[in-house]
Amino acid sequence: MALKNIDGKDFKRSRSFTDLLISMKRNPFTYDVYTVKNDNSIKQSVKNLVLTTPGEKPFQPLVGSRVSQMLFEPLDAFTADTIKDEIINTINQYEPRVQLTSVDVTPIYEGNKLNVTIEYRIVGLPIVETISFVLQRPE
Amino acid sequence: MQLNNLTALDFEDIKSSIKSYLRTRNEFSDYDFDGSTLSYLIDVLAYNTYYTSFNANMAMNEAFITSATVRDNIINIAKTLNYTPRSITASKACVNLKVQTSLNNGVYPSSLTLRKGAVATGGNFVWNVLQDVTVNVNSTTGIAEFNKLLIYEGAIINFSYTVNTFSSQIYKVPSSTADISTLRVTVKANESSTTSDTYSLVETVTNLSATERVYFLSEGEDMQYEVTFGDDSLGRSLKDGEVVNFEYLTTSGPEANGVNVFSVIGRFVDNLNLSYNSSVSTLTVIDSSRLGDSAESVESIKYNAPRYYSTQYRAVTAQDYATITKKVYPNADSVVAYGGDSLNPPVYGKVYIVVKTKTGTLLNDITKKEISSDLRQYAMASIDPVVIDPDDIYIYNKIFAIYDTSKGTNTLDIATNIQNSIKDWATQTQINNFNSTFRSQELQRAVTLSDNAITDISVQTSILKYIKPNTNQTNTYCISTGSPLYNSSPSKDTGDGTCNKEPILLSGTFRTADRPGVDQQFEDDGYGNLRTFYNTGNKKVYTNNAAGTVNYETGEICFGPVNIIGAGASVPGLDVINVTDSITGTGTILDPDSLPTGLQIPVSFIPDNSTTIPASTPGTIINVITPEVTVNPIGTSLPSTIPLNSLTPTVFDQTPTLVDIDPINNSGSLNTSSCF
Repeated sequence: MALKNIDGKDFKRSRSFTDLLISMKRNPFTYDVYTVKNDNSIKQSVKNLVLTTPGEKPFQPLVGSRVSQMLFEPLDAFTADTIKDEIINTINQYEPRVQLTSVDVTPIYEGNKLNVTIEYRIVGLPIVETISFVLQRPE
Repeated sequence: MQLNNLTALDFEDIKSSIKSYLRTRNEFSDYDFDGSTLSYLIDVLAYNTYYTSFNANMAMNEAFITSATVRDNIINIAKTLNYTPRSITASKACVNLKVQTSLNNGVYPSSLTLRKGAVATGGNFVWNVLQDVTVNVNSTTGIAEFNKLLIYEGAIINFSYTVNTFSSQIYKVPSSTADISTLRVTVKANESSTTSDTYSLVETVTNLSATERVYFLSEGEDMQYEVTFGDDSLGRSLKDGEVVNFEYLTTSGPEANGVNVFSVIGRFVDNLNLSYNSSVSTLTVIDSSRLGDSAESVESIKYNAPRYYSTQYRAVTAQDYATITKKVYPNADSVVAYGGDSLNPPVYGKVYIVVKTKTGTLLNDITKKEISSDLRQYAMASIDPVVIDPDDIYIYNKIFAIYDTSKGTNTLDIATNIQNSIKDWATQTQINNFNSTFRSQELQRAVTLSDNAITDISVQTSILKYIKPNTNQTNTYCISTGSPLYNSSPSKDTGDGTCNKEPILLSGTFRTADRPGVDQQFEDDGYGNLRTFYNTGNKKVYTNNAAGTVNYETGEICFGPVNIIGAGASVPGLDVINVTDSITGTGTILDPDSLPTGLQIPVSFIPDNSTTIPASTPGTIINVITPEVTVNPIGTSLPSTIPLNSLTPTVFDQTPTLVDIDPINNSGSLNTSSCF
């Protein structure tokens, strides 16, 4: 029985993700836009989703999370909890490449900020990634 | 790149098209995930394409009247078709207003004027008269009555522009709720001038001179109408410093319909300049408010504009000539037009217009030429409109009715009922007009049903036509009934082997130049010849056995050559002619200039088919003469339906009275109001 050889090229391509860098910066050597690959691309995608407001993407009014509106709510444990739920829902719905392990939203009362830490596992790979960023109302 | 769907106009379709392109490349792979930067980029690209294609599609759609959806665009296209949409229309009510004037030095004023402007309130609306209305005051009672006063819902607005020729100025009626039919455009020489010229609306530049005070109207943006003035070539142009004033009514349109309670707020001034207020007036509503309508809808404009354009101000088809003739000659009761190519033999390059006047008289040559030249400006270059007289065929019926004497009625009433029923029948069939057909069955049915005492009826039908001879000219005159004539059977043996036939046509009396002293008539001999005769009192004396021909198949008779100098009662006097033999009437004409003119010889025919007599040409009018009705009691035998030997053309020396048909004034709606 002849089996097709699954070589490294096939294996690699199936999990390869290539995306543009969100900042659209130019690579000084290639004079082309920077690309992000694989786990970095997924990380960028998760962050993009959380920071996208519903309605921002044309003709797709549901994509994104409402965290930016919630930043205007009173900064307390309840708001932090709502934001956490919102982040979980958004990532579960729109980013099928990751499986969330934990989302941590901590209010920083000095400066009215929220510290967000998202921990997830990339589906099919035993890698756990963590993103941390600060949510803050625009000054 | 393979474009799988070039006509996709939907955002998702465009996006999937870009994605399917990226799938063929291996530089990027994240386009399927909503959070990826590439997905955001694709969104922007698809958005851009979507809007570009939408704009292109919309711009093309809006360029054509059939696909345009935006009102302003439809209006613009309609404007190039010279179509002005209907504006909102003010609701109108009809009222009777009575004002009690007061005595001044013991006499009432002679007249009372209702000032232009608000007259009444009613239904949360204000109602106006658009002009001052003056009526006479009853000198005994002092009451001034404004009867059938039309009051319009809305507010009278005055708006002025000062003309400045250094900048391009658009004269807009600055309201989308203006009833444009009430627009009055006046122009003053300058701001302080007290007199002004009224400008009138024109729709076409035909016959417009350089000095005429006219304006053109079109709908502009946002349903506001624009007034355009002339350019000193077609209509007078406005000069610098002149003041244009628009006076119009802004209205609520159909919302004000159905109001029937009004209270007077108008101002009244008598001829002595004394004012009266509303407390001395009484208002009676004749008709509640109606006819208010909203502005023409875009669907209506899209439907009407191309259709108006295809017919307006041009005569192309024969029907166009008939329509425009009615416009240029309002006395036309009915008009038929047909191309000369439809005649036998065809006459190319001519359109024949047959006019039936409201008065029934024939048009004189001057009027015909006027109509023809009026039509000329609408006609196509090579077409010559020719106005001709209608070809009148008169149908004379003798109706014999048998009635049941036990039904308790009398012959006079039955005869009246029969005449009334014939009038109704004529009205319903519009018989005395072009393109009609006389159908005996319908007439007989109408007569039978006119009175329940009638048991049987019989109708004798004969056709009457006129020969219109030219006095003292030797001519052959041909007339045609357009249908076959009755061909009678041989009856009497003359003794020489040939048989005589009964004549089926007979003329009225006429006089010829060779026998000016005796009234002659002609009849047919049954074998296709006309023969003239005179009557000595006890016998017919034939004067010419070959005076003309008869074609029984086509119904055409030709009388002549003959020189006619009199007909019927229009006979030359004894001072004009010299009669040498008083019995045979031979003699000479002494004074040809004094002979009577405008002669007509009636000729009665028996038609072969008397049940259906159609119009023979498009210009033929079938006229039904008021029939002779004979009512007899049951048991009387009815006469033959073929009036052999009983033709009476001489009673028709004058054009006979036709069955009277009431004109249809209410063409269109069933509006029975006395006011509108």
